[in-house]
Amino acid sequence: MEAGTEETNPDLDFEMRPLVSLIIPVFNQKEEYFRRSIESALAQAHPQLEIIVSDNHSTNGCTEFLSGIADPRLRLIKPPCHLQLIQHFAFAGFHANGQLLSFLPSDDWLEANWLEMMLAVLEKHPDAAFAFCDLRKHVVESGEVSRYRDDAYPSRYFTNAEAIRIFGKFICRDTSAYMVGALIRSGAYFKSGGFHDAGVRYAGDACMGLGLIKYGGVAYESRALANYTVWTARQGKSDAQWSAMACQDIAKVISWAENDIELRAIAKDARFSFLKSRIRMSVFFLLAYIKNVIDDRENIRIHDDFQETLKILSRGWLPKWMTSIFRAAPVVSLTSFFKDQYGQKIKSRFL
Amino acid sequence: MNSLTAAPLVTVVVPVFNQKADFLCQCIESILAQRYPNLEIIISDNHSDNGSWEIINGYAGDPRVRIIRPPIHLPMVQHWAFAVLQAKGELLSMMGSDDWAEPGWLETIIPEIVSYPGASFAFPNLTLLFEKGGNRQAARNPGIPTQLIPSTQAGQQVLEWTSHMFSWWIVGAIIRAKDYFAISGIARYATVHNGDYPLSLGLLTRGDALYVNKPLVNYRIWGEEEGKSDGRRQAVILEDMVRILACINTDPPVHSLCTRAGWSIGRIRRRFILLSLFWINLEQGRTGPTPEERKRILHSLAILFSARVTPAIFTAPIFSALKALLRVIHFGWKRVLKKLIPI
Repeated sequence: MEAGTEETNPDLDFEMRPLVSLIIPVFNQKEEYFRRSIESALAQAHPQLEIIVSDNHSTNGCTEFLSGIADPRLRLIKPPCHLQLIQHFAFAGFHANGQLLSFLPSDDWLEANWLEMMLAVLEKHPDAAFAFCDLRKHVVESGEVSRYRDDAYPSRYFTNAEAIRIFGKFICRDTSAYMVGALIRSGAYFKSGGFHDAGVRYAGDACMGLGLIKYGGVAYESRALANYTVWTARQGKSDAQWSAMACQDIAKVISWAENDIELRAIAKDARFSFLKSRIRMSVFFLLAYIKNVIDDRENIRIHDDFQETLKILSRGWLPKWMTSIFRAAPVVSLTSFFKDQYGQKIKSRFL
Repeated sequence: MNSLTAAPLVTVVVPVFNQKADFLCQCIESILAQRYPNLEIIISDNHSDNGSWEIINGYAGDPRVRIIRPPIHLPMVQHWAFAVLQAKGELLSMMGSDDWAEPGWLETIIPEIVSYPGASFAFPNLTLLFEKGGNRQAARNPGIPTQLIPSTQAGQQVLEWTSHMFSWWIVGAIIRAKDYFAISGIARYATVHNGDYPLSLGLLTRGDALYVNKPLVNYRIWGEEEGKSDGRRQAVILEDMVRILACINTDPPVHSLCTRAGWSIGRIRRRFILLSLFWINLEQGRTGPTPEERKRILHSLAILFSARVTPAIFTAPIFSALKALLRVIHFGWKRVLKKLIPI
């Protein structure tokens, strides 16, 4: 009944200023990272901000320090039981009261002027369903810091026909990690079904981005207003086993997008075909698969997942036997022979 | 059996949007009248503006009732998903705000599902009430006994879409929360209206279905003429069909369930086409589709009908070779024709 309490609060003027909901879903995050992202959220100067932290039943006590923070803007919620990643994001999204909302993964953090800048961007582009910004990328392993999309990408506004071209490409620098620091109009978010999943387990942002452009364009701000942490299981990330899963997810997102009536209409206007990204993704994942094989991962599930994914992706342009050929015994022995002979060499050279 | 496993917490979710007052009261009161000891009732109001909100708040005094509201008005399936995400129970049930339960509903069905750990959901027989004329009728043949339906067999029936067993299965069904959340629930596949169809397929990948042959719930059948707020569904159903088909195609567990059940994608699509031809009515009457809706219907039909022809890269050269051959022969024919018919 949050809505009820707000209506009685005379301080909130919905017409004048948008109320922004910043949603931070967290699960077993390193406390150091999580604290950093909470502090960056609290440092935003805008008065009409609510910060929703959703704790997916963490077991490492990373949310304990929150009870020491007495900030009225902070709200801690908890799903009824541990949810899958996407579901947890969707659950947290349902609690946003703001006219604008933003999702902040708990290992990333914002610049102090993020909200003001992004609000100005959305104000400038009233037709935009959401705005996203450049990021500063922090690679934990090497300690390297760089701009994610550099100056080659100027600030601009994409109509949805233009946006489908970059959001339909999936894994590329134009839109990867766009969700960090993106400010979304909640009307478009809820109309598009928000963080709904088209059977997706991990790459919910790909779905969400495509869903949002049904309801408006996209604004891009080239200043780096958020920080993005790149780290893997080697540094203790809790769910880094993603490559096979992400592969399957993208395959599902493409099929969903190809069959969505509104997206089809937009794609038709833009003369954009998802077949191209299907082919592109197949090649991409084939390379990733080869890399995995060379790395000698004797993980059956990864192999199965990759093959299943390739099968889905190749529908419509590659015959089926091409993808099941990897299971045939002579091919398996041949690849393992090549792997033993040349694997390391190829890997150090090309991958 | 100790008392803990005998009486797990059950959450009954009632999503409400602009419901008729008497239907709504009947629904909520029938759930409050359940004598099951460990019960939580979540009533979620999707920003109704016809006074439903006030009626719901009248029940706030009961300690079992929790009243919630989404931040803004949500599409129907999204709203159901929102409401279920608040549930704390080990077992879940979703009750449409125009349906109502018989007094012994939970007491009868809960022990059944507890005694079959292999079932991911249990659903009872139900009584249909036709608002027009007031006829009552059992939804399923009462001769069908209480039974555990294996997932393959259940899948066969679900995929018919209008199956005798699985139409309206969600009314009064008890779902295991862990299975519900594992397959990401009713908003799966981004459907707008027909969330129960992909939900049942997803649940069947996790376990079997348990049918309880007792009429424990009532389902009201009424249309736009009686004042139901979302009577016009054709376009939405068709669009959902297209989405569901696409997603079955790409979801490996569901796909393998369908294959085991003997439904190839092609067969499912043919079935969907058949159904849509039965259902749609393009005539522009009082309840018929508006021109904009008609456009959407035709568009989704076009997608359903469009078989993807795959000139796979290996057969393509054969085709181009044939083409080239035809061109050569074509010239040859001309020469032959000229000789035959000298003009």
